[in-house]
Amino acid sequence: MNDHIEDYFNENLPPPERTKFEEELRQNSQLREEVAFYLKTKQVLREQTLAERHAEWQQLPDDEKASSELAAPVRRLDWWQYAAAAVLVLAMGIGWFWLSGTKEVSRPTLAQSVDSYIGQEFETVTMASEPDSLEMAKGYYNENRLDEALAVSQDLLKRNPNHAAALEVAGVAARRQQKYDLAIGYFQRLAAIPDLYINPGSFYEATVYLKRGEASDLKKARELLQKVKSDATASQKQKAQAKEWLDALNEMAE
Amino acid sequence: MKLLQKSPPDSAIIHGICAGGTARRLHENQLYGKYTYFVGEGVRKHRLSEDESSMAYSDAVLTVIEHINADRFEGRSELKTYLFQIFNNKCVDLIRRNTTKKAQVHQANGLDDYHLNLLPDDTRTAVQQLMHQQDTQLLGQRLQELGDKCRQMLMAWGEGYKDAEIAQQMDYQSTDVVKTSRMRCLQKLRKLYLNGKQA
Repeated sequence: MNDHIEDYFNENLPPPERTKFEEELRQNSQLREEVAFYLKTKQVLREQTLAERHAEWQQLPDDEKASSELAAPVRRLDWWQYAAAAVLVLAMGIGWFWLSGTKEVSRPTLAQSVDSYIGQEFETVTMASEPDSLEMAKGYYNENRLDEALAVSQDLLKRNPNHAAALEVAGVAARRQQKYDLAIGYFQRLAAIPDLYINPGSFYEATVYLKRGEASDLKKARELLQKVKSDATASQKQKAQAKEWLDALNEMAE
Repeated sequence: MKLLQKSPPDSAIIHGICAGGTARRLHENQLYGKYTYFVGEGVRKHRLSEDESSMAYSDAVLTVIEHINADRFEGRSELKTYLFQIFNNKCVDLIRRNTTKKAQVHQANGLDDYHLNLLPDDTRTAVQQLMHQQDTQLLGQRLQELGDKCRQMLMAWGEGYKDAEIAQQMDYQSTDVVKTSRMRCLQKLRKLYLNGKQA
């Protein structure tokens, strides 16, 4: 198939090549047929994806779906319920006013943010149809069978010490088990692997320091997050998260 | 306890989908779950059946996910408004399909109009006609006959995964390798399809 088809539809062709491609499309029936096949395949894949996702979404538990009941008006409250709510709001207001004078208030926010981020990792693993060792390790992690996740990924690492995905799983499993030094070791090894298109090693290492929160940890976390912000191998999500956490750290320092 | 459940903010959902990785599916499910009450709107406002409205909603959610991934959602409106607009359009498409016999018009349903519209006017119709001539069912069958790796790769591409994510999740060295492998898989699929057509 013509290599330019995908670049053309992704709008990655420079204008002269784009014009040339379009001219060829007018003249060359074979190219037109290839373009039609490319788009048709996309269409068929899209239909299959829709069918699969629709079926999958129907299986979601009801408590993950917002029912129309939530959008409907709520029932009227009695006068004493309004009074109780007013007292509660007043108490919360006083509490907030009292607490806002201290710097400690930002610390739980950062910790919650780190916990929330960590909690989302490997939530769903869907790419492989046949379980291999890595998928097994991720599956164990998902099921919170951390010893097994660690054992399988360590086994993979015996065979290939630079297996990036295995280092990632081993690191996050160790981190969740609060084996922080072990996790840091895995993430440092991951960060040292060259030529990875996306390398989350430094970012993950920073999460360990943020999670552990020892005296020197926040400084190390800050340095790593700064690095992640300008790291070409960090994902956009990690960069955005690094910026958010750096802001929180700065807020704490003020 | 339902009232105490907190839906994630739209910004977190968009961020999660955009960032990709292993948590992407979770955020996609959150998006689906957050506005499922639109299905009821489709039944009430457009008089669709529950099943039709539910399918239109899934289609709309998938479209929004695709737009977020392709940076086509620019955040000019709220995510809810954007999704609702697309959902309404999907409902209207369904109603048209149910009420008109102009099948030719609706063969285009599901076609990626955005991509077709990139083609110059004088070739778009020719390409569209070629697509209509192609056998969707046979192509679907041939897709199942591809090797596991190729099928997985094409399915991930069809789901809108970026090459960098495919590289990471399928252990490819780089996005260039992913792209080359995908084109090879497409070529293989095309050969299978053409052989099947001749048989």
